Amino acid sequence: MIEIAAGAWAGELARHKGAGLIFFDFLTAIDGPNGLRVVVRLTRPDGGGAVLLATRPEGPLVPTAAGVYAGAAWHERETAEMFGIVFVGHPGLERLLLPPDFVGCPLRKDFELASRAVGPWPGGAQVGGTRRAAPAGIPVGWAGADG
Amino acid sequence: MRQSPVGRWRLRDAGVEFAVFDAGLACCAIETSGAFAGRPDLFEAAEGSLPVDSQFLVVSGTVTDALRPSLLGLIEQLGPSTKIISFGSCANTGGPYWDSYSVTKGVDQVVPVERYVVGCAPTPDALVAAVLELAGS
Amino acid sequence: MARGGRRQRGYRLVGPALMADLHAMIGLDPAACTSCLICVRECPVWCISLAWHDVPEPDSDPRRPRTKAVLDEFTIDFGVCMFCGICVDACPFDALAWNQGLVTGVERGELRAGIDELAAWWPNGS
Repeated sequence: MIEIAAGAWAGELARHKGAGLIFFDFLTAIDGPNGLRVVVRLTRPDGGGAVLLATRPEGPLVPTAAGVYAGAAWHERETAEMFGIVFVGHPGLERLLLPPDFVGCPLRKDFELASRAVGPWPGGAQVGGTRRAAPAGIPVGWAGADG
Repeated sequence: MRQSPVGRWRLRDAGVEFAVFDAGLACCAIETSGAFAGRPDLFEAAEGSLPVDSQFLVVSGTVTDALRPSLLGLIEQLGPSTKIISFGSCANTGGPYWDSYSVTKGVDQVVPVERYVVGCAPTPDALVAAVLELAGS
Repeated sequence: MARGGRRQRGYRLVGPALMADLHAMIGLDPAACTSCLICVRECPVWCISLAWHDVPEPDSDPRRPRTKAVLDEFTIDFGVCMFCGICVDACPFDALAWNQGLVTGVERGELRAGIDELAAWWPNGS
């Protein structure tokens, strides 16, 4: 994964496209331990030469890729609603999948899944005492995650 | 194998006839689609304007919040005499997606369910068994 | 849930020669279960729950008295279960096993199977 500064994002995408990576595979975001990154995968039309580019938002802002790859428009709409990222210069950053009354950014790690955060984990009961266990995959900080 | 969204079938030995509509929402639709046509030992197709003893809607697959209004519209169109069969874990409770932000946790959250078919996905014969129980009664 | 699993009503309910290894029903051997909770924790959809109580182990040295877990309840919610088999694989005591049966006749409220039903579904001849 090649890290690119947000300011150079559109320029780097254009450079890769000019070098033959004209197939826009996907754009999405990753909510990792060091914050959010927007990730793009580009290939040649034959599928080869794959490149994974990443950039970090400044605040919530990332320049749009839609000026370079028109197909990025829908990917950015989905990434915007799922992660709360704003793609500057996007032709129309409306919701793609979520209903209009949906609150929150569901694919961020801090978006609590109510069913997992609030409901008691059946594995929380202990045989003989003091060893605590937390459910796998539930981030620390969700309501019920301290075992 | 003839597949149609509306299947009219007759149980060979008993002459019981029923019509099955399938709201094939996800992977479970693979299992339901051939359930009756795949048992020619039990069923034959019932053609024409035959009286139908029973009418069923099988909900096979995940009920996402986005699709729920369309499903409810379909159920309303079919009318109150249509019995609803929940097929598979997603339709039963939300299944593997019970914790999702976009899934209705079971079709029985929005409509009354006559029978639940257990499985992920259940086998076609599990649907046959459920329909036989209901059609016979 | 199901009045026993495979219901024979004059029809062959499981199709011919299609189901060599049908993962549609899980049985429990309560005597083998030690309430270790591994299946409960490993289940990806949290559909297993169990309850136990401790009884003193009669032969234990009084200087270090030991207890043994006795299983009171064991429930699998087959409405949520994905039939992935992680619980069957994970149990260190082989207390869970696939049964080549088919659960039928489930009405509202019958999606959870308790310890008696799960024990009845322990596969015969295994």
